Amino acid sequence: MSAEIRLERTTYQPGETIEGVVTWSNQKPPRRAELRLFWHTKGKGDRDSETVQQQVFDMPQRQDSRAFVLQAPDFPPSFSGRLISLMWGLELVLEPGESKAIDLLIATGGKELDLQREEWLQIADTQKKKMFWKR
Amino acid sequence: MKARHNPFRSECVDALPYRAEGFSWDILTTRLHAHQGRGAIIGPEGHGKTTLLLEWKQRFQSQASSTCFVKLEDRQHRLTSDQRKNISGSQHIFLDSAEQLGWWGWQEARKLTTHAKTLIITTHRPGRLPTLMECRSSPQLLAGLIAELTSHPFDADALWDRYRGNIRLALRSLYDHCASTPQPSEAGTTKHQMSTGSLSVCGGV
Repeated sequence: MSAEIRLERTTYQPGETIEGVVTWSNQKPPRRAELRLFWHTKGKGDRDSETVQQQVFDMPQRQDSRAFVLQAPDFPPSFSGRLISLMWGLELVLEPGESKAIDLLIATGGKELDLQREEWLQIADTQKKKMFWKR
Repeated sequence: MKARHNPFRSECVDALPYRAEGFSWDILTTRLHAHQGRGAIIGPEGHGKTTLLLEWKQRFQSQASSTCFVKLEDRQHRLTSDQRKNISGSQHIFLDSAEQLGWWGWQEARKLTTHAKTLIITTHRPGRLPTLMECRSSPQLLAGLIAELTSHPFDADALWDRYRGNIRLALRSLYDHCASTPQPSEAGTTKHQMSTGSLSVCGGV
């Protein structure tokens, strides 16, 4: 089995359109073919993930090629710190068969938020103070 | 170092298969059959019991068997209603941290699993079910696991001593060590390193 996800780029701003093409070639037509847009975490603790959009391809053939259009979600953005990284991904799932996934970056300015940067710690501190005075 | 680059991140550690000197699935399966599908994996914390139990469950699952994995939390003396329901509907039951169950909880678990073809538990001490395997660790084992995760040299003997053979804690300490170490590519740049198509692949430092 071979499967491929083709995109013009892998970095998107929130709200932008993610357009591409998926192709696969199998000995038999898959029972189900689906493309999932999901986020997942990597790091020290338990892993977490969530599929936020999916596109099911009707009547999948043994050899097939389908275009897809998804929208980059507003939240959560791709970020990384010492304890946890959140990454976006696209996964083509063929049943039965293997799946194929690629990483995406979805964040304002096309840059992963770096939780280790001092400015983020300052923003978090300011937010905390605001919350305190709102009480 | 960012979490996603850390060679000791949980996805990489969890992907390491169980290993031990003289370990063989054939021997383990024979022992399980000899005890009518009931048995315990015993050993101290962080010595690979859960890893072995999860792998065993996957082996049953790959044969399209109806399996159920129940993880008991700290000080969980009784099964939850969801756990009871899952156990009642499964043929092959894998109970992790069975030492958490109190006497009543254990009696309830035994009663709920009488219908099951397989009941394998992990526990710190022998006694609840016949022992199938005693998990042990060694500095050599730790060194082998570290070598599989990173090419960076770490003193496995010292780590093993410091954490008294608890492999999980030793690997977590290495995560912290790497997390506090800057990565050359991170110095002065926030450029995202794409790892296209490598979601399940773990690389070294």
